[in-house]
Amino acid sequence: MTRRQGALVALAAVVAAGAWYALRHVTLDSDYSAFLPAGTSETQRALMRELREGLGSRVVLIALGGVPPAALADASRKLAAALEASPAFRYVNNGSGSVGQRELALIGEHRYALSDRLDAADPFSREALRAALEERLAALGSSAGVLDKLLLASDPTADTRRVLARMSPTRSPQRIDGVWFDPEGKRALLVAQTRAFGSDLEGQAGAVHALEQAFAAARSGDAMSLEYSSPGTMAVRSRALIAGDARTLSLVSMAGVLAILAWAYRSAAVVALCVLPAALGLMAGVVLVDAAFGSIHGIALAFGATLLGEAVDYPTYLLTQMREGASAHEVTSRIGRLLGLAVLTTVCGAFALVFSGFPGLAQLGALTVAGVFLAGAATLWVLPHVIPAGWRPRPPPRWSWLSRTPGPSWRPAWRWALVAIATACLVALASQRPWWDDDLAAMSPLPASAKATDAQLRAALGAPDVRYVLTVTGESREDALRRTEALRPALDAAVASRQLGAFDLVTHLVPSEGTQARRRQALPDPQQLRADLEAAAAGLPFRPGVFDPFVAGIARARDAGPVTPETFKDSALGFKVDGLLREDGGHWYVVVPLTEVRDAAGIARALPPDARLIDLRGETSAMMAAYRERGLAFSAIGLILIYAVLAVGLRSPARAAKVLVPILLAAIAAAAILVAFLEPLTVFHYVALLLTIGIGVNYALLMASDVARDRAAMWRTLAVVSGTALTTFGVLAFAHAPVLHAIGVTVAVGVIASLVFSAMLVRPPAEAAA
Amino acid sequence: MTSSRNRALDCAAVAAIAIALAGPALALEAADVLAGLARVERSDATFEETRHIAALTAPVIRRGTLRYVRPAEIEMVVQTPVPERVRVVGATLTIEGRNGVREVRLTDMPAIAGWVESVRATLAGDAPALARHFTVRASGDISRWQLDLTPLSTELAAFVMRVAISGSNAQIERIDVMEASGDRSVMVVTAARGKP
Repeated sequence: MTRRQGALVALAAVVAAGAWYALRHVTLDSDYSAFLPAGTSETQRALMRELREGLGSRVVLIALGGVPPAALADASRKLAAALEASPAFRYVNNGSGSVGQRELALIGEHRYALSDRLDAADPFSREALRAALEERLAALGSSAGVLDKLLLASDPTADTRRVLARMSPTRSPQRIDGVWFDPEGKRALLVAQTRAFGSDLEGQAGAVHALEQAFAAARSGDAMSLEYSSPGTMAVRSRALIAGDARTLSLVSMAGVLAILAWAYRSAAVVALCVLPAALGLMAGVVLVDAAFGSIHGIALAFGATLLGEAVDYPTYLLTQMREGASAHEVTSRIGRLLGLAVLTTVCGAFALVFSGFPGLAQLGALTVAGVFLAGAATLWVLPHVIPAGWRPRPPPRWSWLSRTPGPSWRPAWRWALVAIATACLVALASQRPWWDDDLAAMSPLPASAKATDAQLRAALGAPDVRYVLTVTGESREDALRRTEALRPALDAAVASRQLGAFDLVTHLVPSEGTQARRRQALPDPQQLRADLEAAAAGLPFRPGVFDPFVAGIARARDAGPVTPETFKDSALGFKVDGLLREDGGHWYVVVPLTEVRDAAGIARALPPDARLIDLRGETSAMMAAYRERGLAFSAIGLILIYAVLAVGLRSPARAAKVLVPILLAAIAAAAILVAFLEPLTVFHYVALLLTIGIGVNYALLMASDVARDRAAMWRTLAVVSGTALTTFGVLAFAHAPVLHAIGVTVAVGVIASLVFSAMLVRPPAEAAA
Repeated sequence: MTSSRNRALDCAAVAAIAIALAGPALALEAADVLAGLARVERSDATFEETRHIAALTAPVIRRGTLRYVRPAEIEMVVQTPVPERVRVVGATLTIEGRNGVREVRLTDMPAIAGWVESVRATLAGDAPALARHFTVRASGDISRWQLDLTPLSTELAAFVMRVAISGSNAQIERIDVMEASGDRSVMVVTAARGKP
C-alpha cells in the first residue's frame, strides 16, 4: 500500500467510524421549541413556559362542520363521549349541560370554604340571618327564583350563589340542540384537554390520532368535516413538516452539490475526494454537538447537508488550482494561507449563531464551526497526501468562457461609485417597508391557514383575552395563593373604575389555607345557629324546621378538610384550577386571566409589586427585539473577529479592509433586497447575514490573492465554490421552518451580491501592482 | 312578510298535526285550540299568580300585566310583591328586577326554555314548538278548553311535572304549574279590554 492509499484509507476509516458512532450514540431531537426563544428575562421565561407547557398548550379546540346542525349536534355528542373515554384526553366539553351538575354539587359542598361573605365580621349573626331570610323571601316572589328555591333549605345565606357569581362568567358559545355552535350555527364546537403536556410531542401525536379515530367513528357520512387546533397539535404538525423538509431538502441539496462537482471534475474519484473532508467535518460536528448539547436537533442535522455544500469548498480551492507539473503539496503551500483564512472567516461567520440564545441555532453554529474547521484541516493536511502529483482537473465543456471573463475595465473610482449608488438605492427602496418582524408567530413553520383556523376557533369559543396575562409566583402553593388573594382589592378597583372588564382568580376555587381556616372559624356552633335562626325568622312565613339542612351543612363544614386542587379533580373546575395554578421547578405560578383590559398601564400601577402584568403581544415583540439586538451585538463581534483574522492573515489592516468592505456592502445590499422584495428581517436573517459575510469574504480573498493572477483558474474556483453554496442555501430557502428558510434565502442572496460586489471592487493583484 | 310566512308555516303545521291526531269527530283537538290562538296578533292582560311553596306557611301572591306580540315576544310586568319586568324576545330572556338587569340565552337553559315555551308557544298557537318540549292533550270544548302539557325531556321534568293551560276560544284564562318539588302555582289571566 502506498502512502497515498494509506492516507485515503485512514480518512475513509475515520469517516466510517464517525458515522458508526453517530448512528449508535447520537440522540435526535425534534422539538421545534429549540428554535423558539427561551426568554431573556424571568417574565419572558415565565411567558414562554406558559405558552409551551401551560394549560393553553393542552387545550384542543375542535369544530365539526359540513352537514346540518342536527347531525352535527349528534356527532358532537358521540365525539365527546369517545374522547371522554379516551386515555389521551382528560377532559372534554361540548357545551351539553350534564357537566354543570357535577360542578354545582362540588361548589355547593364546599360553599363555606369558598364564600368571601365569611370574611366579613359575624357572617351568621342574628342580623345577618334576618337580612338573608328577607332576601330569600323576596327572591321567592321573583321570576328568577329557580336556583333560590332549590337551595333555600340548605343555603338560605346564598353562599353557593355568591361563589358562582364571582367565578368569571366567560362568554360561552351559543347552543343548538344542547351543544355549542359557532355564531353562524354552521359548526359544532368542542374543547378538550389532552393528558400530555403541549411540549410532549409523542403524547400530543397520540392525542391527535385518538381524536381522528373518534371522529371517524362519530361522523355520519363523508360530508362532515373535522377541524382542530392546539399548540400541541400545531407542534406535531410542525415536526412532521420539518422532518419532511429535512429529508427532501438534504437529498436535493446533496444531489445538486454532487452534480456540480461531477460537472467540474468529471471523475467519481475526485468527487469522492471532495466529499470526504466535508463528510469528516459533518461527522465531527454531529458528535461534538451531541456531546455538548446532549442531543442534536433534526433541523441542525438537516443543516448538516447544507454544511456539506459549504465544506466541499475547501477541497475545491485546492483541486481547481492544480495544474500540470505541480504537486498538491506545492499548491497547498501556495494557497495554504488563503485556505486557512477562508476557514477561519467562515468559522467567525458562524459566531453569531452559536451565541444567538436559541439552543437550535447554537447547534447549527457549533455544527458549522466544527464541520468547516475539520474539512479545512483535512484539505490542508490530508488531501495533499492523496492527490497524485501533476493531476489537474479536466476542463468541463464550455468551461473556457470563464477564462475569457475580463476584469472590470472601468476605473476603480467609477466602480465604487456605482456599487455605492446601487446599495443606497436598494436601502432607499427597503426603507419604504418595515425592516423587522418581531412577531413570535413568524417563527412557526405552519402555513398562515393553520394559524387562521386557530384564531377563528379561539374567537368562536369565546376564550378570554389572550393578550394580557397576570401572573404571581410563590415559594409554595400556600405562598402563591396568599399572594393571589392579595390582588383582589386592586382588581376589584380596576373593575369598578372600568379599567378592566372581569378577572378570574384561582383562589375563588382554592383559597389559601389561612383564608379557609379563618372561614371555618367563622362557622357558628349548631346549637347557637339554631337559636339565632329561630329569632331571625320571627314574623316571616317560613315553615319551622325548613332550614334543618342548613344547620346540618354548617355542622359538616366545621369538620370538613381543606379544599385543595385535588378536590376538583376530573371536573371542569379541576381543569380550570390546573390551568391557573402550576408548580414548576420548586416555584408555584398562578395565572390570572383578564377579560376586556381597557387600561393595562393603570391596572399595572395599582398591583402589588410581586404581581406581573404581561402584555403577551408587547412582551413577545420586546423579546424578539431583544434577541435581534443580541444578534446584532454578536454579529458585530463576529465581524470584528473576521476583520482581525483578515488583518493578521494578510499582514495589513488596509488590505483586510479592501477585502471586507465590498462584502459588507454586499451584506447591506442583500438585507435591503430581502426587505424590499421578500420579507422583513427576523433574528434568523440577522445571524445569517454574518454567515453570509463569513462566506462572501472568501470570494473577495480569492480575488485579491495571487491565485487571481490566473483569471481562468480563479473563475473556475469561484464558479464551483459559489455554485455549491447557491445550490445548498437556495434549496434551504424552500424549507417550511422559518429558521432554515431565513438562513437559506439570506445566504443565497448574499452570495450573489458578494460575488458581484467583490468582482466590481476587489482589485486583482496585477491591477493593484500596476 | 316574515310574520305572514311564519303564519303560513304555522297553519300548515297545525293542519298536519290536525290530520295526524284525527280521532273521534267530536273530541276536542289541541290543534283546534291552537289554530284559534294562532289568529291573535297581540294580546294584553292582567294576571294574579298564587305560588304555593312548601317552605312557606302562606302562599306568595304576585300581580301584574302580561303582553304577547306575535310572533315571539312576551313581556310580564310584576307590580307586587317585588317589582320586576321579564321579557322574552326570540331566544333571549331579560329580567329587570331588584338586582339589576340579567340577560339569559334560553338555549343555555333548557329547563327555563321549556317553561317559557309552554306559555309562549301556546299564545302563538305554535303546535310544533309546543310539541318539541311537551306531549299535549286537549279536553273540554272550544269555549271551555284545557291543554295538559307533560314535559318530554328529563331536564325539564326535573323542574316541571305538568302544566295545565285553560281558556275559552282564543283567550287563555288560567295557567296551573305543578313543579317536581311538589310546589305549584296558579296564574289567573284576565284579558285587558278597551286597550289599543
